[in-house]
Amino acid sequence: MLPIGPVVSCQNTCLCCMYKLTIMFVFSSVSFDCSYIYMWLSLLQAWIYQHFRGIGSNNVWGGYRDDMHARVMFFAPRIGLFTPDSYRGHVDVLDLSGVVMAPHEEHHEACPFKRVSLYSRWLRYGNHMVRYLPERVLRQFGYVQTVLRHSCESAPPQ
Amino acid sequence: MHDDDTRPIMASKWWHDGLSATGLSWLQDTSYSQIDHDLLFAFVERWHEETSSFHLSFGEMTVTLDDMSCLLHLPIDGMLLSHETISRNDMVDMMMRYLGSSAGDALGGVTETRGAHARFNYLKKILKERLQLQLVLDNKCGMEEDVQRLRDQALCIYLLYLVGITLFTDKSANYVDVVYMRYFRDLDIVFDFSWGVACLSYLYRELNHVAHWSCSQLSEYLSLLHV
Repeated sequence: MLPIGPVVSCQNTCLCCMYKLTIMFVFSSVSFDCSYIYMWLSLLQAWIYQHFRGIGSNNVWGGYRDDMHARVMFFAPRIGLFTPDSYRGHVDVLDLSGVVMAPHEEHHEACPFKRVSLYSRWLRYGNHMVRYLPERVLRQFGYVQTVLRHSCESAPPQ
Repeated sequence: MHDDDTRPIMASKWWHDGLSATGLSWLQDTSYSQIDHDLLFAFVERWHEETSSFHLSFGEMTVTLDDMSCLLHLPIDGMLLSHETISRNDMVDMMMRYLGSSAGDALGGVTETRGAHARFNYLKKILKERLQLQLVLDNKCGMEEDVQRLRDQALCIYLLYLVGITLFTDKSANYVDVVYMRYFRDLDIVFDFSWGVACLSYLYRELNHVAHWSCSQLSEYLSLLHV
């Protein structure tokens, strides 16, 4: 009879590798070309740099206060601090001390906070709809997080 | 879009003023030249479509409209972008009316591309034509009206190109859906549309696609493993 433990862990490793390969493939299928800007990738990266300490460069805050320039352009292109595995490990063990929940608070003088950000339900764009539920992440606006409603209750299916 | 012929024209004041009035000129500068894919993988695999958020060890986080406003300086209040897909005839009509294309020219663009799409190469070509023609007319007297019309057309073409390469990038990355032109019909009200909302919805939709795609692929791998 085969020992079960090693088999399971071997399967897990395989699964892990395959999963990573799959995601890599998804990204590489978005053909990258320097002349085109994949705004959503840039935006996501900028968002991660803003909200998570220890990821991205330290001087991401520089130059914004005196200037109305969009912040994304201030970030120098950089090579990751971690290898892929430790990125995952890093994200796995994140606790609140590693997170900047409301990074824009001090910049709201230059760019005022708009109440529409707190709207929770569906967003429409063209003929697509997506759930937008900031009520689940109130901490990001500097508010206290409450017990979460079910997403179907927050944004009833149309 | 920027070559040796057009660059001096695009450095002029009317171009700069016209573009900044739309509130979209920031898009020219907001991007990373290098994307850290590994970092993005780590987050994308934690994305959940049902709640539109990243599920992390300490709770949920998501990209909010406030992030859109602070990171990209795009307007987040105002009219929603609302459009259906348009027919080829409507597209030719719009291109003739707002971009100043001739019927044959626009039709050429339609047959070359699938659906109501304009090729970037075509947009580049007609932008250059408009910019050069307005320069010629600008040096003559009594042509103000024509010059203004050409300048509006040029801005419209450029904006269409700009949202095509940034906000609403198609996977093939060589054409843009002409339907967005409806938001540039009147350049004075471009700023009244909530581009931030559209960009955020697009981000969510792309994340849903990637998350969903990797899940279904994963289940195939799982069944493979069982075999």
